[in-house]
Amino acid sequence: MARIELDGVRKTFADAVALEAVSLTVEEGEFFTLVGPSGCGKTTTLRAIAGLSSPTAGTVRFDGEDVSDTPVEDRNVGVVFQSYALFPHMTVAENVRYGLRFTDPPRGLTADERVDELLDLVDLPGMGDREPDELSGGQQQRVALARALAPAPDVLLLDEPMSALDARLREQLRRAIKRIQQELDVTTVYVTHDQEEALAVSDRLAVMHDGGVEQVGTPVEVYERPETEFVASFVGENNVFSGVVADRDGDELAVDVGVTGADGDGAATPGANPTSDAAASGEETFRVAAGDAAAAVGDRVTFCVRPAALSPDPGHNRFPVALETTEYLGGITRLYGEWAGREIVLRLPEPPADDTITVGFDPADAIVL
Amino acid sequence: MKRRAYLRTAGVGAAALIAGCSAEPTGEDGSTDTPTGTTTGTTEGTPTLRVGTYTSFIDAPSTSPGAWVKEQFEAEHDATLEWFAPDGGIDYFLQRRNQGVTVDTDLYAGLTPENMVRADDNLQNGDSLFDSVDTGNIDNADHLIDEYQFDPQGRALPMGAAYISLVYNQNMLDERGVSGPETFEDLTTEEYRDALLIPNPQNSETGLEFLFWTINEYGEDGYLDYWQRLLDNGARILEGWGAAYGAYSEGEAPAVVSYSTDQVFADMSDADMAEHQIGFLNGEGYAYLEAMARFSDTDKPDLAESFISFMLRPEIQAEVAQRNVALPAVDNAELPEKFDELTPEPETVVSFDYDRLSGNVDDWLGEWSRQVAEQ
Amino acid sequence: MTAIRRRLEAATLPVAALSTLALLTLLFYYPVGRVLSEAILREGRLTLEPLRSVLADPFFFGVLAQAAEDPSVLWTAIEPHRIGPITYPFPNYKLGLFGFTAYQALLSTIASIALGLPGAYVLARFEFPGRKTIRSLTAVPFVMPSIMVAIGFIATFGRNGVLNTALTAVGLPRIELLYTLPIIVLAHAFYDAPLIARVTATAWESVDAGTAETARSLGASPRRAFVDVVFPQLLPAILTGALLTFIFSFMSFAIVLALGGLRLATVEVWVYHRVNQLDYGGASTLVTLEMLFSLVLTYAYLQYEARQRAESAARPAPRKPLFGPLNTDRVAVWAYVAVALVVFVTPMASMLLASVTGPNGFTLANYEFLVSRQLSAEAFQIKPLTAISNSLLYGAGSLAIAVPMGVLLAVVSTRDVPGSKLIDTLSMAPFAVSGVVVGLGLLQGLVFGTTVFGYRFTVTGAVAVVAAHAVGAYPFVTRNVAPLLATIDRSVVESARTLGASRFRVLLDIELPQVFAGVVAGAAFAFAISIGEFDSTVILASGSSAYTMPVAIERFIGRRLGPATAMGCVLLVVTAASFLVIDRLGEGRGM
Repeated sequence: MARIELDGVRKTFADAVALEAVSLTVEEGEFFTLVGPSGCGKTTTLRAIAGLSSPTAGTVRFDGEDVSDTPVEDRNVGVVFQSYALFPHMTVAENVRYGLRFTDPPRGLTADERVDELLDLVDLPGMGDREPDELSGGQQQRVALARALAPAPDVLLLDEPMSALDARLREQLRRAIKRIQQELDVTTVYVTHDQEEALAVSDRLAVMHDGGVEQVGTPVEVYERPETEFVASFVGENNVFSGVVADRDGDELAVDVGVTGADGDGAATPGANPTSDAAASGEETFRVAAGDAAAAVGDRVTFCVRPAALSPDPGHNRFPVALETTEYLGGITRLYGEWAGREIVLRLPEPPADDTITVGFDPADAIVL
Repeated sequence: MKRRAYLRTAGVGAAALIAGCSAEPTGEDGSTDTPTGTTTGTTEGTPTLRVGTYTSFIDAPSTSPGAWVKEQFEAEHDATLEWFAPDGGIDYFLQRRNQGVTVDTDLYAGLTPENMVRADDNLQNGDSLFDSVDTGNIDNADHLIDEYQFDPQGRALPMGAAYISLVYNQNMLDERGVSGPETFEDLTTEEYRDALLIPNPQNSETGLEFLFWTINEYGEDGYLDYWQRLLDNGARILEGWGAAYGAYSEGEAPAVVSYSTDQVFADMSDADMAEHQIGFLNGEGYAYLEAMARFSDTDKPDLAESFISFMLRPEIQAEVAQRNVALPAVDNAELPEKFDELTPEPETVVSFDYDRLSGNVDDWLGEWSRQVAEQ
Repeated sequence: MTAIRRRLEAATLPVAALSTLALLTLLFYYPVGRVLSEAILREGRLTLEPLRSVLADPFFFGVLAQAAEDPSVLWTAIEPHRIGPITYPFPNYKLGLFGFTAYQALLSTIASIALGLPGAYVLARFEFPGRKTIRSLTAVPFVMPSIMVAIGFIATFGRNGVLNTALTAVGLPRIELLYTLPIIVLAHAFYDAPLIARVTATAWESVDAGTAETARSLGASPRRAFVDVVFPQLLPAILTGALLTFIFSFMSFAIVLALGGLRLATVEVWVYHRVNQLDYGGASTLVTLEMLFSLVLTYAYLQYEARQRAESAARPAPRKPLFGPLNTDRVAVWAYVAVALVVFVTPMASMLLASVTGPNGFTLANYEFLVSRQLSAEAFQIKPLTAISNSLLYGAGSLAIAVPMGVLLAVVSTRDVPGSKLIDTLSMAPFAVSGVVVGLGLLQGLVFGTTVFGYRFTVTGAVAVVAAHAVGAYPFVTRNVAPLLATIDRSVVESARTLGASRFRVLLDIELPQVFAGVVAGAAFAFAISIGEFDSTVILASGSSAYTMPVAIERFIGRRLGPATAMGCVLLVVTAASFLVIDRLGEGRGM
């Protein structure tokens, strides 16, 4: 088990910066997830931890010890790749045993005992003599996991291990990985682009974007208290608004989003002539809970409201949404619509009869970023 | 000196380790050490004479005089004879000299006039690969055949000769209803269309001397025209003597440019003599001359001279001629009648001497090859 | 203990890289460089004048050189041509020596592909007794000395050859092939078509049957499925073979002169001629141009190859039995077999026949000659058994050096390091440089020696021969291994590293077993190169007992070809047996 520290790790390739000065700490025994869209630098970070690529600048420490110059084979990490990467010319058992050529098995086990133990652990008992290409994708990935764990690594690194699997298998394997991780208590860094997966399995996660870390926290923190607009819209669905603080009353802000509201910020795209439309079709000033935000009158702020927080019931912050698409998700309906040139997402128990619905939200449900 | 001696020993040790690599100290001025004669060294008291030659003189599939010469020479002299036949023949030694490396060989046996001209043309400042031999010390020098002498500086002493001639297959010519070609012009007539194979003068001594022969016949202004007519009549120029003679043996053409000693070999293998007829064009044969010459940096000039003297003795000449299937270079060598019968001689002997060749060979060959290979 | 072992392993690759570099420098770049430097040095000064004057000489560059002088030649040279009743304008361009050389190389490449591809099809897609043996023997033509091929071809295609005898027997007219361009092209195909067949068959066997089946299920006819799906997967292998064939044919010399005569001269003929005249400057200029041409071609090819990295296959298609009811497929195959018998087998068979034929019919005299030579040869003469054992020893030694070297360079060339394509291209240089000049460089640089720090270092004899062979052979290993290596998933390699394996162990445990077929194919050709090599061997072995079988064959050529053909047959038998052994050994490992 090891505590991993990344200190200002930077990686540039010939023509582009892949990672800008990333600093992170992964605690011993923690299940830590790097999540973000493709190209965000999460795999580059994982490779830097593994020693598969050397950072242009910065240090990687395991338990306080600088391992930046330690070659990959001496770092005692286990890696599972998206493509399984089983050795095609070896049987399942030979694959799992491979790492034991270089390290003695733990607890005085023989190599064979260790292989059997791990095949049991990943629910593939007695499959040792199979060839990799006789196994299904899910089974192959379990073998890859067993192989990575066999030498009892200090750190387990999982690089999108489930992307190639179908949804059902993915959930099964996700639970298996989580169970095994808890059983072995091994420090684990998990890379995924799937925020739902990240929320489901992690002790903590780091949301990455454009080569940098946007936010680090527990799933609850990241979901409920996104710190940046990117996190707000990437982790779970969100409706993002931005505007100017017109008034401040203790913990509540009055934010004017209508007039000059959105001048190109991400989710809030201005309509052709938002001013008059907005004025005609709903409130332009929303009341939102300030939270920790120290915004004063005249400041520009962005806030978000989860789809589930928008409903026809609340008395404040009401605005009309022109509905466009409806998706029935089983027990709940997701609706996409438009208000003042902005795309709005709603979640309602049942779809409304009209193609326009007026919704509102409680100031406490808005999160100022 | 001590350090150097040590290094030398160390070098030898290392050489033993990687067998075939060696390091020898060179002189202070960067040029090579004073010549030590041979690299193989001398056994206690018995000097080694290293003689360069061409491979077929010592190792031909049919017959070669090398072994016999070595045995006889060693029986008479308190010396070891070491044959050395590098690929590339005389050019090997010339290149060594040009690179500033000792020649490490005492004399060369089998030198042609072209070789001598080439060696002189490619060395600077009148330097010579060979030095002249005092014929006063050569027992049988008076009997050397005059026509075979080609070096005006007296460095090369003739060792033997052969005649370049046509060899033709009368059985094949019978199918055409013609007899053997008798003149150069015959070869350009319809009767001898597609009839001749010629070794490439660029690669073979045989072909080169045939080229000289045509220059002798048609002059420097006319030989290219003759060759053009020859080629237009289907004559083929092949890689070398081996390729040409091989194709001839397979019946690809009824005639090939080769040697007048052909029937000796045919006799050895009981071949059909009709397939080994000798044709002297215009009654001539071009003399393929080979000589012996002593390398100028030998440290055993006397032993080298003894070897030359030995080689020119009539009985040795006679034996070497038979074993090498060539003609002796002295007029008092007695050959068996059968050998004489099998080696017909032309009415007229043609050959270019040193002065005729000097400075010309490259030009002739250059013009000729461009004309032939023109695409 | 593990720590020491790990440290040793970690050092293995860098040490191997340095040794490779040292070996290449000593036995290739230095000797060749010192000769080639004469192409751009005149009296100690750099000049491009010699290169320029060759480029501007119509003798060498034909219409290109003429057009540089006077572009009007490009249209004035267009003259009416006629096919039957049709007259059409066609340029009557002068090719020049380089143009002709490239032209005949192109024809040879096309012929080799035409003869090689059906062979690959038979080897990869059919099952028949002796298939593996025939596959192993495909490398045999490669070792044949040119003089032997010339003899075999004359006996097969000559005026009185097998082909013409057969034609006249059934009342057809003779075909005069000798001393024409077609016979040269055919002789090049004799050497190189088996190479293309073997390389392509290896690729074909690893084409996943699923891809063609998918195409069929989408409505493609078997032919369409082949053209659209299978062929593109074979293309990299075919082009590898084609590139090698083109370069070998471009550099061809002895076979061109022996079967075509000087009128069909190639650049290499001129190089040899210049070297014979001791005009090293002139030779170097030509060789430099030859080399640049070959290397540019190689570079262009490698760029293409890099884009063609396919995943290795899971399930090859099952083989069809060769013997069975005749259908169009089998009729075509049998027709090909007939052609292959004439082109590949007859020349070798006729050499065998020549070795047991004397003026008076059947004889064993030629073999008796070999035996008597063995028993009674002087120290300065060649003994057949020594030649055989030397050849085998050098072949094995060359393998031992060329395979690690070739694999190492394949690893370098497939890694995403800057300049890897350039390194890959340069690693092909031993194929791109004239054998004549390599020989000259070895003679001057190694046999005569080089003076360093007041000592003259010379390298000759067996060790030098083996090293020179290895240098000439390793590109085969690289070319066979690199494309396969490139198909291995990078994360497979990385997985092994994270499990604690050093880069060297990964190569040994993970990568090599997956590309073993390529290693074996490369090894077989490397062995063949060593066995057949003549130019360098004869120079480095000069005056010692380090000679090989091809040197012995050359020595045994006399008025009668018998002794040489007998030695040629010994060479054939010994190498054929060696190839069988190499492939059997290879089969035990690999996938």
